[in-house]
Amino acid sequence: MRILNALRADMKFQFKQGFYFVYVILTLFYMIVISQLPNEYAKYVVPIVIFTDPSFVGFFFIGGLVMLEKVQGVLQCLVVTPLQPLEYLLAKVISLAVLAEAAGFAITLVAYREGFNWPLLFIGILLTSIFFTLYGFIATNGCNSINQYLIKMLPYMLILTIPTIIYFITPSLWVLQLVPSVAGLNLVYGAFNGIALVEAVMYICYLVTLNVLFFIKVEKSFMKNMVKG
Amino acid sequence: MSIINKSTSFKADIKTVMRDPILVMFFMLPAFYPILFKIVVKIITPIIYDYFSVNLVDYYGYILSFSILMTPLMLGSVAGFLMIDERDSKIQELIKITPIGYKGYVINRLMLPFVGSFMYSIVAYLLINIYKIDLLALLLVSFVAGLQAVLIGYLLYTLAADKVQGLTYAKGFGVFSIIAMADIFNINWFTIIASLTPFYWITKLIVDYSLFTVVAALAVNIIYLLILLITTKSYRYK
Repeated sequence: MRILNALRADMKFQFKQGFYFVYVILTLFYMIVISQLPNEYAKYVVPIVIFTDPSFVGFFFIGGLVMLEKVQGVLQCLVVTPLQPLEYLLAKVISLAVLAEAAGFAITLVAYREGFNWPLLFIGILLTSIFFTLYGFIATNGCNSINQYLIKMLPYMLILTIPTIIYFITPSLWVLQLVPSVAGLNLVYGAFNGIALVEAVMYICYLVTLNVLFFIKVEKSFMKNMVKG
Repeated sequence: MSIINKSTSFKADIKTVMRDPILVMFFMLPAFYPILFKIVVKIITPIIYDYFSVNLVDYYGYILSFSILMTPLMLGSVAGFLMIDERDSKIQELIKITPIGYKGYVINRLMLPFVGSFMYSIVAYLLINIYKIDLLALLLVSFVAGLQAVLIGYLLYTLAADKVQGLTYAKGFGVFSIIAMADIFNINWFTIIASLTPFYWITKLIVDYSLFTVVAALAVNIIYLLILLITTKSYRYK
C-alpha cells in the first residue's frame, strides 16, 4: 500500500512537472517524422528512436528528481516515515518505466504500420528503462545539486553510448553485446526486426541480473550518500 | 542604464559562468561537438548509402543547420538555467533595486547566449565543413542563431518554475530541431506551421538563400523578439 501511494505521488509530481506533456509533444513530432518514412526504413528508425528517447528517459530525469528532493529536504523527511528506501526507489523506477512504456508504445502504435513483437518490445523498454534509471541513481552519488548531476551525466552517458555507436557501425564485434545498452538496443530492435529466442532470453536474463545487482547497490548507497550524506 | 553598468554586469555574468562547472562545460561543448558531428557524418554516409541507397550528401545542408541549431539550444538552456538559479536564490530581488534593474538584468543574461551562439555558429560551420554558403549568409545564420538562443533562454526561464521543470522543457525544446528540418518531411501543413516559427529559418537560410528568405527570416525572428521584449516589460512590473 505504501509503495502504491509513493508511486501515485511520483506520477502526480511528474505529471505536474510536465513530463507527460512534453512526451505527448515529442511523440507527436516523432509520429510526423516516422509516418513519412517508407516501412522498410521505419523498422530501423522506430527501434532507434524508442531506444534513444523513451527507454533513456529515466537516466535524464532521475538526477533532477532526486536532487530536487534532496535540496528541498524531502529525502531527510522520508527517513522518519515508514516508507523504506527500497519502496522509494521502486516507486521512482516504476513511475519512470510507465512513462517510457507509454511513450514507446504511443510512437509505435501510431507511427508504425507493420506488425511487431509487442511482448518483446514491452520487456525491452521495461528492462532498458529500469537499467537507465538505476544507472542515473548511481550517477547521483556524491552530487549535491542538479548542476553537479548534469556534469556527471555526460561521462556516464558516454560510457554507454560510445560502445553502442561502435556496435551500430560494426555489429560483428560480439563483445560489445555485453554492454547493457547494446543488450537493451538488441531487444528493442529485435521486437521489430526479429531475434532468435535463445538470444532474446539471454539478453533478458542478462539485463534482469544487472538490474537486480544495480538495485542492491543503489539501495545501499542511497541510504549512505543521499539520505545521511 | 549606462554603458559602464552594462559592461560590469556582463563581466559579472562571465565570472558566474566560470564559477559554475556545468555552465563552463556547456559553453565549451559547442566548440567540440561539430568535430564529433563531422566524424559521425563521414562514417555513416557510406553505411546509410550501402543499407538504404540514400545519399546523405544531398542532406548535408540540413545536417549543417541541425548542428548550428544545437548551439542556441545549448547556450539558451544554460542562460535559462542560470536565471532560474538566480530566481531561486532571490538574487533577482536584489538586482531589481540596483541601477541595472530587471530589464537590464534580463538583457545582460541573454547577451551571453546571443554572443556565444553567434560566434559558435561560425566556428561550427568552419569545423564541420560539409556544405558551402556565402559569408553574408553565414553571418545572417549566426545572427539568427543568436536571436534564437535569446528566445530559448527566455522561454525556459519564464516557463519553468524550478530546475526539474527546466530539464523537462529543455528536453521538450528538442522538437525545435525537428521543426527546423520541416522541408525534408514534405508535409505542406507542417512546413507552413514550421515557417511561422523562427527555428525553420536557419535551415532555409542555409539551403535556400534568397532575398525573400533573408527578409522572412529576419521578420519572423524580430517579431518573436519583440513579443519577448513586450513580455519582459510586463513581467518586470509584476
